Amino acid sequence: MKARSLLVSLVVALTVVACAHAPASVVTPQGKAAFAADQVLVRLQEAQNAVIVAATPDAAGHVSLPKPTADIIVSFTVEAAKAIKQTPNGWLAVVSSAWTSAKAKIPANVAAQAQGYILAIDTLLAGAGASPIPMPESNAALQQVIDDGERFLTGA
Amino acid sequence: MKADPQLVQAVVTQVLIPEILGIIRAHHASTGELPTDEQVIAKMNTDADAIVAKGEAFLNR
Repeated sequence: MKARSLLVSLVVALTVVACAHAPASVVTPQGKAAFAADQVLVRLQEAQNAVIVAATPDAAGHVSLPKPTADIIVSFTVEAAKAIKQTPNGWLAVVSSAWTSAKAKIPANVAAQAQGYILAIDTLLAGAGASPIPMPESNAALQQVIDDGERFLTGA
Repeated sequence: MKADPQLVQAVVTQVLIPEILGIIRAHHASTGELPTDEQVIAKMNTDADAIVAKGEAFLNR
């Protein structure tokens, strides 16, 4: 249940915030590329954590994702993180290709169990190539967004 | 199939907005300053290293 709830959160989050504009304080091409790459790394880390949780036995010894399948996905996340760190401005093609290869290794008999995690990473990579979401360009504008969001959440 | 409005509202309020606020807060450092290029590059490297370390530990267990 915990793994499923993590997964639902993950897919929704990846769909909306896979990529955001760098704030105005980040000015160099390297900084902007690193900011965009880090947005992907943060989501990749969430995907990796969800897979590890799913493959970790519960008190009764059950797992929701078999270790060999989890290994395929976690291996991909490790290789993707290395590629993103090495080339923060040109990793998408390499990582997408690696993901296609990794997906092909997942056995058909566990496809249903792995489907959510596959969807999450598919969505992440699709979002990385999509139009960025603008970030507020000043501290005052950031604070306003936070205040508005918290008011909405609390119903104030 | 039409989505259940209550489900959509629950997802937006319980997942989406907190997630977006979390991302914005991450940029709003404790000093109140926006991140510099150096900080963004350092964070990217740290996050990549963390994924590699945790992933390799899982693969080796």
